[in-house]
Amino acid sequence: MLNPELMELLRNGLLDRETKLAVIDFLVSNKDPELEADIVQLLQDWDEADQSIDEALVSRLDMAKAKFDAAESDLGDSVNSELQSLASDIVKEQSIAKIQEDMEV
Amino acid sequence: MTSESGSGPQPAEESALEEEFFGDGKSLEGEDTAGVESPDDGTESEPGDVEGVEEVEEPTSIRDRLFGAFSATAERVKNRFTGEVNETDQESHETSKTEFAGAVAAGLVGIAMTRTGTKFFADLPQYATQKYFTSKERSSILSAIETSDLGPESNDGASAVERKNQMITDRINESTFLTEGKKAELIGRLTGITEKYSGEFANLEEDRNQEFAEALEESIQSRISNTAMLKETLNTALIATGIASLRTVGYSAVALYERHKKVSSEMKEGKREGNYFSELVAGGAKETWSDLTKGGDGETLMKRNITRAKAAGILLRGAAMGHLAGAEIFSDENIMGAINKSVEVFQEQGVAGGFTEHFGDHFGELLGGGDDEESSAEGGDDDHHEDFESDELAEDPETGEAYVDQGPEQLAAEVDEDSPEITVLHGDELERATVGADSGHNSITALLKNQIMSDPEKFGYEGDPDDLNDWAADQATEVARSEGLLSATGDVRLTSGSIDNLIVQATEKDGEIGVHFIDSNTGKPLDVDGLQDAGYTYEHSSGAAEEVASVATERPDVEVGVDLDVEGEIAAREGDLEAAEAEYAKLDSKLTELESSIASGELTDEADMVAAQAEAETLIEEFEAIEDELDSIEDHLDDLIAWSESPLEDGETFEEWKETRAMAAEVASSEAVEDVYESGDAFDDEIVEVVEDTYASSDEIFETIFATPRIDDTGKSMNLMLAFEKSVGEAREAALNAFAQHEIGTLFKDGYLVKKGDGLEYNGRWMDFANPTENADGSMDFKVRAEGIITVVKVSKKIMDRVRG
Repeated sequence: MLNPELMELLRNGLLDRETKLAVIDFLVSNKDPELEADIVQLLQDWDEADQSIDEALVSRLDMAKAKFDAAESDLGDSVNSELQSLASDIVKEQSIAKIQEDMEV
Repeated sequence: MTSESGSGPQPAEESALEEEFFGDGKSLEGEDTAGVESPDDGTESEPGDVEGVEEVEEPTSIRDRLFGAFSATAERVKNRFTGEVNETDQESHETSKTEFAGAVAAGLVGIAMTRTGTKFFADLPQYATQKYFTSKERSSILSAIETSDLGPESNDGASAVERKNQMITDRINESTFLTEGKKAELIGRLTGITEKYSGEFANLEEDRNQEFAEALEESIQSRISNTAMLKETLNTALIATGIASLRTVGYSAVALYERHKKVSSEMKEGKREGNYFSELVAGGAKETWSDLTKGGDGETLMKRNITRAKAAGILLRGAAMGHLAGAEIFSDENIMGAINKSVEVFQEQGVAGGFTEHFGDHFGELLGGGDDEESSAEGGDDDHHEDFESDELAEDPETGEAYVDQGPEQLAAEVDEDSPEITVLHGDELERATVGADSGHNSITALLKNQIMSDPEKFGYEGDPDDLNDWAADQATEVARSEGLLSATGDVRLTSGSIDNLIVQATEKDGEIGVHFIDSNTGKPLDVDGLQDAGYTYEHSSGAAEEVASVATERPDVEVGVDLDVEGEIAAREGDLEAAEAEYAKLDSKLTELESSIASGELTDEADMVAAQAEAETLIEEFEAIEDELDSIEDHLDDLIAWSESPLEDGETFEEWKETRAMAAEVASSEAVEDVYESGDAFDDEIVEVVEDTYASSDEIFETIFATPRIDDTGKSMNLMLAFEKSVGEAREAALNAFAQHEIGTLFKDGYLVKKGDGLEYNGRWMDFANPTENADGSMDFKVRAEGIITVVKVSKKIMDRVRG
């Protein structure tokens, strides 16, 4: 009876069809139990390694995204500060202009 | 008052002014940072996160991660066979653009998109995706993103700054206190801030996208490498154990994947009780062998032969020999070596029981005996050579019965005696040459064309692939003519009895294409007369053919003879259509790329875009014109075929025939007729009864018709016909006569006297009128013809007087 994990891998794993068929041929035809155990181990290790690719990708993407978000936030703060300063200057300029107008009146 | 007002803005006033600009003064932060999620939990980022992120350690290389336990196991497996497998035997696994790489990329892009948002793919630099996706695929994905609910993300940060920029600009411009010079100065500062922000934001995006692309690329390559290592390791083990060569043959013998579906389905249904893999492989080998030796379960010899040929074809394909001629197969040491090794493995391991010896027999017979010396050179043992040389008929592995049915190998021997250039057809080749019911297999020219197109070089074609279809059609027609199968006045057509029973094989000798007919039931060749004697063909030399031929001289687009190359005509036009579609897709892709360039700011000048759009519109018009033309040609060809099959009156032109037919079709599809059909109770029982009783003397019918309102007459005519078909049964002439009487009477009522050339739709076919003849007693005979039946409607003088009066 085949290892359930291996059966699942053959049924639903990401392996391409050709390789699955090669594995099936091997399991049917091979009579060396030790070699069979090695091949099963090989497939399981492969599967584990393959899953780690997804995890690594997600990790890299999350990191890049977080780095971007943080830098964007910094940039936003910087711009806000400059805009705030500009707004204050505008208010001051307007106040000065208003005072001058009042004085002239 | 002045001092009060001129004391400068108080803090409260200043706050009010700021409020006017910025609301509560916190919205800037709020807007800019809203929606920025932390990587994992979706909560808002805090400024402090920056440091946290920067402190995160760089990830271990993806490749390093995966090459841990897996690479160790792989090495261990490979080391078991050190020295046993040559490097040249190893499979090469390219990591460049392949179908597999594309699939891997698609899967990983999917993961990335769900993780980062749908904009991920659109943001990726094109170089990062073009390795794995064609422009068309990329356009398709982008298009799907655009039309999805999710859509590309908006640039919230940038747009928030732009909104504020606009708001401040408006307020500055609207200010009545600021001078124009001061306004310009403030706006200049504002613009500077915005441009600085936009530039830095774009840089951030570019950096992020670059990192995305690098992560994706590394993941794709890692997955490909991971699988490549697995394949190489498996391959090493398979080759070293001899299972690889078994696999080569095993794949073919059992067509594993297809069989997997069949076996798993049948096991679910309880039809198979054995172990799954045993059923999958061993059972498959036995069944394929059964197909080969016994011809499966076919009821006829032909069907069994086809099954055999298919089984042989499967074996040949799987052994990588399907595309080679027999001599080449036996000069190929690797293939023979693979076969020998397969046989050894089968013998040693006893897979499929007694399959082994028959397997050897099969290849020996199927491929013509082989070459002893070459086989010996490969190290095969003598026993195997005996197997390959065996001329004995094999035994069925299950029943032990010798099979005596004629297989493809015997077919070859008989054909070869008379025609050395004839080769035995197997699998798809045989199907292409065997008469079938579909349009691609139901005429001699179609069958010849199939074969010529499948291997044009063999038949001497060296031209442009786009012209192949026309050339093949011409060659097929020419062969048919030269064999006397096609002429200006008739042709030789296939009967339904030839289906599955006749092989029409295209042959080539000294640059001349010919045709060879083989009775698949006997395996014997047939000449043209023999075809007719066997009931496979008949001479078609009708008036219709002559009409077509005669009119063809006036209409150059009609090929002489009835065997119009309708499919060839349509295929040629469809080729044009496909070319136009390809052009359109290419331009569409170009447009998409331009749009992406514009959107990313790389291309600011839209002149190219406008030009491309104009070009696309032109192309679309051409595309639609080709489609219309194709429809028109198809309609025309349909008409020609119908015309060639219709009884024609002297002098009736194609255009006249078509016009009459269109009128009849219009009547038949009129609302009145449809209403009658839909109501289902529109039978005029009185008329039906009268017709049934007295159809031979029609006055009463006409009187009844004259008394009937005109509306629904046409429908009633149809119903009358249907009623007669139903009630009179085989008396089809009576039905036709009744229908004709009613139609003639109805037309009389409209003041129209039918004449030669008139026609009406009748029972989905066509009813033609001949010129009426006047009898000595003043009555008239109206001759009509439909469905091969001719009937005469007699109209008395009394009625005729009434019509004329």
